[in-house]
Formats: sequence, structure tokens, C-alpha cells
Amino acid sequence: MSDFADVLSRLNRIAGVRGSLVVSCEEGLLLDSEVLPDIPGEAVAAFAARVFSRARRSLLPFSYAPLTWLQLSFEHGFLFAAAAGGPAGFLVVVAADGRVNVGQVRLEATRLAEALV
Amino acid sequence: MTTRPSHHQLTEWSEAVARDPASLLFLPLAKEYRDRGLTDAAIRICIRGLERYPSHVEAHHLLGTLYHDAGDLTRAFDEWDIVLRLDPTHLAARHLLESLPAAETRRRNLRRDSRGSGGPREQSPAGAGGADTRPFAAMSSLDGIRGAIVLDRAGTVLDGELRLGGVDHAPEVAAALGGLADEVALATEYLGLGSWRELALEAGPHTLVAAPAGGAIVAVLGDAGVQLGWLTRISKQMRDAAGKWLAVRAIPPLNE
Repeated sequence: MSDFADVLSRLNRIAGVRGSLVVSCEEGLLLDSEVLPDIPGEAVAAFAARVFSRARRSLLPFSYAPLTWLQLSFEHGFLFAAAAGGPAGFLVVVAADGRVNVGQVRLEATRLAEALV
Repeated sequence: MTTRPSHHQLTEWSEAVARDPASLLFLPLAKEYRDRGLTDAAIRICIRGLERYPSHVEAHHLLGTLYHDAGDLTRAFDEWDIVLRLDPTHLAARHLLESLPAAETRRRNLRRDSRGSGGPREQSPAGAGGADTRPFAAMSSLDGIRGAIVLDRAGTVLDGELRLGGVDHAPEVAAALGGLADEVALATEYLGLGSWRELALEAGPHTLVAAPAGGAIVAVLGDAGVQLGWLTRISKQMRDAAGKWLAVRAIPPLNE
């Protein structure tokens, strides 16, 4: 059982969550995951890190503070990413369907991401 | 009476800050650099400290003073303005704001007055603007909203502004967000979640929400006091406004 297993299992207990992953922020490499079989973990990890990186650049003109939360809403669900440890740190990524409580995921994911550092 | 830190102590602070970015010694270090006339270095230290502590009142206060030293009154105003938002009782920041040249203060007050003094107001950009006006340029009149833009897929600003420190950062933000629609569309293949509806980002004192709207993307930037839910709501209003605005200009939908 990895260091991240507890984090992943806590996130996956939230109704509507289809899977969660811990990803290296810079490389987009999957460090650990617990996802439903139809979710390709490696591809989601790479995608999340890429979008996070682009999003960080979009805020650079404004913000002293690092990007800590990304929330992508789709027609039938969500992809969330909470960052911990700066650009060289981790992303806690959560995939969820449309009935998930967004506020609950945000609360848990950001808290757990901070705890990983 | 305060005594100046010794060279040895200064070296210790400098090493501590370099070793540990979370060290709060960045503040006395930046103050000392200022006292020694090293304004640029002090600004860099302050900004680095604020990356870790974005709500540190005294760091914003000092950064405002450093910008003032450097003759950048607009940025000084912004930093002291942040201080008062974080701590409305901060008399030093209030006094410094009042000490700014009348032209700068008047220009800023005009903008602030246009926002009103209450909490976030329900105000429809579509209703306020209509298809033939520039609804996005008017978004910064909403309380807590720094600005809003509409951009095309190539990352070109079509309308609006994202103003901070007296500078319009819309072009840089648009360039970064420009390819986002294509990037995000890939996720629908991985996840089977349908087309994308919205992107929300939080970074310390700022939240950015972007969403596809017709053949373009709308983005709105809010301050820390603006809740994500409120910004999302404004973003939805903007999408409606953008639909009409873009239809007049015959910009095709993203999926075509």
C-alpha cells in the first residue's frame, strides 16, 4: 500500500467520484491511482498536469501566489486538481460525474493535498 | 529604539530565506534591504515571500512602499489597496494612500466609485450592454471583479480587459488560455464526460473562471473576496452576453 492510498480512498468515498490520482506536477507522471476501469489513469495524469501548467501560465501576470486549485466542468461531470508543494510538487486529481458535491471534493482534495507536503 | 541588524545577522536572514521559502524572515530582510537602498532586491524578496503568504498584510504594505520608492505609484496604490482590503483598520496604509498624488487617487477613486459600496451586485452584462455594445469591458464595474475578456481560439483578445497594477494583462492571459479549448477537448476522449463547460482556477488572492462561448472563450478574474460560486454565476451571464455579441460578428461556434 503506497503513501497515497489513504488519500485516494478517502476521496473515492465521496458520492459521484469515479477515481482519484496523485500526479507529479512537472512531469505529469502517475504516482498512484484508484480509478474505475474505464478511466485511463496515465492519460488523465498527463492531461491534468498539462492543463494545470497552461492554467498556471495564464495567471502568472497577476498572481504572487501559486495556483492551488483547478476545476474543469464538463457536460456530464468534472475533473479537479489540487496542487501541493509548488511546481515541483504533487497534484491530487479527482474525476467525478455530474452528481458530485463540488464543494466537498474541493474541501477534501485541497486538505489532503496540503497534507502530502 | 531599534538597532540595525549586524552584517552577520543579515547574512543569517538571507541564508534562512534562501534555504526555506516559508521563512518569515523575508520581511525584516526586505526592510533592511530597503534601508540600504537596495530597492529592487527588496521588491524581489517581498514578492517571493508573498508567493508563500499571499495575505500577509505587512508584506503587502512594505511592497507598496517599495514600489512608491521606485516611483511606481500605480503598483504602490494596488499594494496599499490590498492592505486595506485585508485589514480595513490599517492606518498606515490609509495614510499612504491619501498621500498619493491627486491624479492617481482621483483616477482610482473613479473606478472604485463605479463599483459602488455594497456587496456583489446582481448585474447582467447582457442587460447592461446588449449585442452591439462592449459588455466585457464593463465587467470591471462589478464589485470584486478585476476584469473580463472574450478571446478567440488563437488567443487574441476580442474585447475586455484584465487590469492590475495599472496594466492590462489581457493579451498575456488570452495567449495562455488560447489553446485551452483544443487541449481540454482531449479530455472528453479520456473521460467520456461530454464537452467542456467551464474552467475555474484559484491562486491566492485571485480566481479566474473561463468558459467556451460560441466561437470564443470568455474569462473573468475576481479578487480573493469573491467566492467561486459567484464568479461562476457571472461567467454564465457573460456566456449569454457573448453569444449575442459573437452572433452579430458571425463568429462560428467552437465545435464547427
